[in-house]
Amino acid sequence: MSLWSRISNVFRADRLNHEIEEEFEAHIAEAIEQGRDPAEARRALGAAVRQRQQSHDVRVVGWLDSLRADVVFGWRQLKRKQVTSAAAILSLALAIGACIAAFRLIDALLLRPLPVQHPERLYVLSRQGMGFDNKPGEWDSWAYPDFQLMRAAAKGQAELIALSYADRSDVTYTDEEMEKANLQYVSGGMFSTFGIKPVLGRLFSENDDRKPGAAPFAVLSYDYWSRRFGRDPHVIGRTLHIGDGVYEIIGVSEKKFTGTERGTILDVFIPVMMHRSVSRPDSTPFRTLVVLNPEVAVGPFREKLAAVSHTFEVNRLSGETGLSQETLKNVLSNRFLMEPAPTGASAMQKEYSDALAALGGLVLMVLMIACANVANLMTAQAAARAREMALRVSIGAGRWRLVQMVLVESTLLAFLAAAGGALFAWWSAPFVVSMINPPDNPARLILPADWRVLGFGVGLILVVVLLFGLLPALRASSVKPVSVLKGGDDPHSRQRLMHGMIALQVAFCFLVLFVAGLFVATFQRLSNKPTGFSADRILLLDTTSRPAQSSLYWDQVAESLRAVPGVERVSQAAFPLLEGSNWNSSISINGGPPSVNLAYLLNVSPGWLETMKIPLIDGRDFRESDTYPDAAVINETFARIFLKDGHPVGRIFEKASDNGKRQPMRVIGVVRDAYYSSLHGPILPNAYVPFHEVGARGEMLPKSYGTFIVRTASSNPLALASTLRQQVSRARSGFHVSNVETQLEINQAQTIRERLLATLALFFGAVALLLAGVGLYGVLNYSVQQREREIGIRMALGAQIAHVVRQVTVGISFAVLTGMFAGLVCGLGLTRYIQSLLYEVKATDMVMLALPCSIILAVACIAAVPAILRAIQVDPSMMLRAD
Amino acid sequence: MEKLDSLQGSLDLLVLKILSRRPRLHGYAIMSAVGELSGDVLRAEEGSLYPALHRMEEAGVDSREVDHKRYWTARAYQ
Repeated sequence: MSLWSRISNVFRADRLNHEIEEEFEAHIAEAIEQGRDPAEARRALGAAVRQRQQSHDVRVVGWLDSLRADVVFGWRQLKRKQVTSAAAILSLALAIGACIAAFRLIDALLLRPLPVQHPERLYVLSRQGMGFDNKPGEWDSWAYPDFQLMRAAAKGQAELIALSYADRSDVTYTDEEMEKANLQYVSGGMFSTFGIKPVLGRLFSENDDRKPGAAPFAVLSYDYWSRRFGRDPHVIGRTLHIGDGVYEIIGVSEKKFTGTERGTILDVFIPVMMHRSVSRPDSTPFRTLVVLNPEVAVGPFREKLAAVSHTFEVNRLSGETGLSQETLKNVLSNRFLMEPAPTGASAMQKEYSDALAALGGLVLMVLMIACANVANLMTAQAAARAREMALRVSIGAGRWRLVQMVLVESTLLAFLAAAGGALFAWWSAPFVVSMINPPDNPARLILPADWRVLGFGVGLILVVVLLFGLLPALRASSVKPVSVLKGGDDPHSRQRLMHGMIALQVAFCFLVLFVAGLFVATFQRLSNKPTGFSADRILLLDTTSRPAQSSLYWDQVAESLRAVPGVERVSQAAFPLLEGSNWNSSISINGGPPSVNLAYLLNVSPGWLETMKIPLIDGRDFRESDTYPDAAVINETFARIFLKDGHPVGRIFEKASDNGKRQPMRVIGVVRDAYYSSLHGPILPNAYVPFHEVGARGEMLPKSYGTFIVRTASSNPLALASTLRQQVSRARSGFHVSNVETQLEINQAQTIRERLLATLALFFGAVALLLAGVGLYGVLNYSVQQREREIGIRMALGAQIAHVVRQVTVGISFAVLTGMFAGLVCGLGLTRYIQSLLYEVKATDMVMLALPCSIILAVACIAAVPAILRAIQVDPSMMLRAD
Repeated sequence: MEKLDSLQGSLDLLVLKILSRRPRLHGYAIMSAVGELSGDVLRAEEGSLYPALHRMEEAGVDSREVDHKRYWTARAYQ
């Protein structure tokens, strides 16, 4: 009989037995036909049951058959206790699902190698140390001339690739509306070095790297080609306008390649030669990736590139007079880093790696709590089944057979939970990504569900089964029939296990709540922080003008917007506050050297201060006649840092430019502090300068971009968005609104990560608390149930109710307190790993520690009530009469 | 134990020998043939033939069911 038929026989046991039965019947019938006595024939046949069993055994795969029997039996056990099973499965499903979702996110963002040739040989270059703004940091941005020198030096040892930061840009196809696309400038060798092939047309080559401005081509990503063009093969040869440039689409890249920036899916690639800063040594718009040849050692190679880059920087900065000597010295002593980047390099990886790791940790703790719950449930069930186990042992069941039986039941539970968990993960991972949604530029992360995720899921199930199933299984299988029949020799050993689990649960629950508290406090502090301006009813129209037009025309457009009904005020600025843009410069006072601290500037129109409701505390606002670079309105921090001696209004400071030119500016007003580009750092020294900019000969300079800041009458400023957008285009040809957003959205985008962490941590905190509460309730209830007889006897002998309650709760209270203490110690130890995610919150803060403690104690008290009620309601006479 | 094994082994051989001479026998016919060939030695329990037959299905004996009766054949003589 083949293995296959023996396997299939496992699942048709009834038919098999029926067949064997039939054969016996045929045998008897034949015997009777031969003239034998029916009774004698049956007797001669022998023990039919044993023979049937023997026949059955040779016709099936033994272990599979016993497994099948265990699965059927386990399923019946689960079905028998539907409520507890459902609770266990649900809590595990939630925890497993959260784990899988966290893994999917971490894997997709941080672990999964790029789909390129040899991702393991990919490195990213960066610098670490003090920056031009005199603050420590790490930068992976490089100037193209520097890149060229390094690429030449690396020849034969590695390929270097320059890539601009993916940018959401305005693009226009001939005769169509302006739209947005994720754009990246890449060096020509990127596709061939990565081994990426075209699905249509051709990709870039080294030939596209020869001369600035000489390669007006575009390659589309497969994703964009599908989304935007429905995979139209005639897209090749179409033209595409970006800014002032016209590009010809020459090809579509392979489907698997979506760029090297995880969190952004690239739409359009442009040769690096078309970047406007490609010849500038002082502009650093490019990341540099290195694909190292196999036999090259990293250390010496890095030193070689570091030397080349250092020489370049020394040459570049030798004529620099716009920066302080200290800054120059600091910048030149930056460390040169070359770090493995098999997953590419992206801003989202930098910003979210710690956050995702913290979430992963939280989710694992919730999983532990759920496992401890199920373990306690299984232990309680094993206790209830001790007699059954004892019986099994007495009639000869082996220990491993019993372990298998209990483990199969656990596995069944875990698989059911994992199925639910998979559903949860399928929904929740994209949901979390969708929460990372800065206005106009939501994160897009490809979340594949492939063998990696499946493997993780299966591994997780195994771990979970071992965590909650093995201990109870071993315990259940080690029953000694004699002692069980006597009534058990150590009734407390099982409780010790359960109390241990409770301590574990409480410890993890404390940690989850503690971390959740820190995240929530961080989010609250950041989002309740006064920004210094009012975002109320403010609509921002990011506008471009092609070609660049004089700011007088910008004023005309602003004037036409003021006529739109529902508009209260209109002002202009180079960019909105807190959007993330920066314009900084060294300052020189009284002809002194350039300052180490930088000042942060912003062009604003007259009336902007009032629109943003930034109060003037001294001097006056701009007038139409004020022009850049003559006048400036400064904030208090600027006055404190640069003009500390004396009255600031009327004084003159100089903006130090890189070319050594000094532009003197007169302070005409002082305003209250407001946040400039980020809520996370301190208030920066700001100088607001006029929107009107004049050149050396007094002519008005043209502007190609700016933002109209509109305060609307209605509380929902977005209601006016499309009207105003159309009005801008109508007011003057060449003007176009590239983006509409509210100031409130921009402010909220500052705390996206914190909101994400706070929301998810709070959710997991609630889940952890619920699970721990249910666990506590279950164990207390169980222990009272086990000791009802003892309690009855004690009460019959005159024990006080208080005494009984103490008896019931003392063990578990000890477990809870131990767990809480352990959690507290771990929590204090763990916080340094999440320090980078916190803002103005200290882990040692008494409130932060006391809050989780009191919440857990409150939940423990609530969970204890039913058990205590049960204990004091024990009727001694009933108990004594029972059994 | 050893005796039982040798007994079982000889039962298997006997069954194979019978089936190789006369293919397509049903259980009772095999049993009768075993009885004739071995005297009373293997007659103790007629039913023990069936587990043996099922075991041998793996190694050289085929069965076919016709009309609620199973007929056995040594594989080489099919």
